[in-house]
Amino acid sequence: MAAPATQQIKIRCNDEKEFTVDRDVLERSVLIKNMLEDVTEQQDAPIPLPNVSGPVMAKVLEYCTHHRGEPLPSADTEQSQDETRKRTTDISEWDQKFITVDQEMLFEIILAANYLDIKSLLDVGCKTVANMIKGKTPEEIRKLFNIVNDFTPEEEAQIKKENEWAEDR
Amino acid sequence: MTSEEPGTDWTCLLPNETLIEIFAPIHALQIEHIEADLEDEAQDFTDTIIPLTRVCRRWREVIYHEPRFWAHIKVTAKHTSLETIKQLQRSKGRRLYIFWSCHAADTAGSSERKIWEALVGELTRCQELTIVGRREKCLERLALCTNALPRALPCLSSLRIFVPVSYGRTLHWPRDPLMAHPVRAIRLFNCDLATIGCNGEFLTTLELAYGADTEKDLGIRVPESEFNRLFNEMPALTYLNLSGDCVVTPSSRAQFDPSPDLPPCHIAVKLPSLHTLVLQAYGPDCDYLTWICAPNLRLLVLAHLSSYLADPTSRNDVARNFPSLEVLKLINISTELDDQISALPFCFPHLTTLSITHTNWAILYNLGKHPGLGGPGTWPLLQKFITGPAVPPSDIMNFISLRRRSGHPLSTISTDEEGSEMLKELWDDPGPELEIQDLAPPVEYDIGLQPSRYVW
Repeated sequence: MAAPATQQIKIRCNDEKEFTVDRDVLERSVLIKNMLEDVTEQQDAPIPLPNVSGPVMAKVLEYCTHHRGEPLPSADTEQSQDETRKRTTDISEWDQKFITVDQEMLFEIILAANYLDIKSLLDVGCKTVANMIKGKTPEEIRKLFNIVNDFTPEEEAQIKKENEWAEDR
Repeated sequence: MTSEEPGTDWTCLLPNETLIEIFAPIHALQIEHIEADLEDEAQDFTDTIIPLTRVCRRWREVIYHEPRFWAHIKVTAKHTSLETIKQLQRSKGRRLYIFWSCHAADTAGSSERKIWEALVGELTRCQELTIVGRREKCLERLALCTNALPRALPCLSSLRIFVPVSYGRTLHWPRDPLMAHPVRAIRLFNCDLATIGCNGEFLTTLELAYGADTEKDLGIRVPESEFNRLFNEMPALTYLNLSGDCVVTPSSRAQFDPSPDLPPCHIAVKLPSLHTLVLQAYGPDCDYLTWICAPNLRLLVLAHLSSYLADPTSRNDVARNFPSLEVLKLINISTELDDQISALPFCFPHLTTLSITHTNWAILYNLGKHPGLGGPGTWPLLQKFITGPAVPPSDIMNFISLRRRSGHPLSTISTDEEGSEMLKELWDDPGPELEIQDLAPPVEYDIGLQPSRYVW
């Protein structure tokens, strides 16, 4: 018996770019999965995704296609947050290659993963930024991400004094 | 945009929850540092999360308001009670992981006492408590603080204590808090066995390690009756790690007798849920393999054994005690034990994985030449063999050939990178059924278990 055909779903991004994607690939996104479950009748109109642009969605779909069929991570609880000790900054080889993009795209992917609720992709993005931060001084971090130092010199001196127990030892 | 114009700060687009997710793995590094500090007292403690509070106001606010970054509290002589109080406030009722380290023989005892006083009121939300005191000068403070423990530690699930052996015998941990609540994991270094007078009904992980300070000091003595009583009250125990100089004495001798002619002990411990047993560096008087019966044991790790393994005449007892064993790991075994080690795997008919690392190659040679090895009934399920750099590839090849001749070929050989290269060079065609791989992830993962952290 032939396997049942995979249902195809249309999505539309904020730049009007449309994608037609296998349902199981799209269901890596908890947001879209829930939307699809709420729709009782089959509809041809594309699902609007107003917070994601076409180029970013293309990257997200590349990730979802590669990881299709893998079990979805369970919902976050206090207990799983307590598992921080088991968290590492390790990223698999494929994911590392996938996420080697410029800063703008990296943060766009993180925002899209957050909006679409794709936890594993969000993890990859967050770990990548964590790896960029790791071992750097506050000044180096500011320079890397173009963050403005909005502390007054007095505040900065005070914070440094407050926290010197945790540093320089 | 000209090159002089500042670039875009993309981080400001991220919601606070996402920033927290970015900081979480960096915070995890800090916990790793604390854990490493327990192992190596020379290590300095470096906070990884605090420097991030100096990047900008937003990052500081996000970090200060996320309780999980403040729930791991380390107390040392270098901290002040004010800092601890601030940390406790920022942890906002979250369960606490407290690491109290008395490494330095300093004069700041009163400061530590103040910190401890600040902590005592919050201990009701302590989930993990670790106390390290390696020097005699610190131990008075340790006694002071343990006596100040509240009678109730309702959230405590893990307790770890590291003290010098001479002190461990006299430390009497208050039993009430532990008896009343379901502590699930205990790791004790040099504490008397009686210390773990907890409610063993809920205990799933137990690690007991003993060292010897001097030649005269032979470690911990445990009467066999106490040993039997203690372990037979642990129906949920899944992981047991015993290491060092724990001498179990027969009931007929209450005091330790250094005479080599001790009468045999009558130990019979049944641990129905145990799946992992780690035995390391134990002395000649502890025949754990014949004493402990674990019908569901899947992983046995034997490490740093130099003088004694199991009475060769007791192999049937060993086989009966561990009928479900799937993985046997031998680490750093002395050459004097070659004969006993070579015979040991024959006790375990369901073995799927044999790992021999950091050990003298003669063991493998003995395994290879053993006349029973080629027989059809020898380890019919053995699939994976893991070895280390000290084993010559020719011996590994001999072992592979023997397995093939027995009709039960191996599917995987795992060795270090250099070893696997040499094997591939020496052996043009290992056959399609055999995969030669560089040292793989811990073999525990193969059978769904966590690797043992405290195997040296």
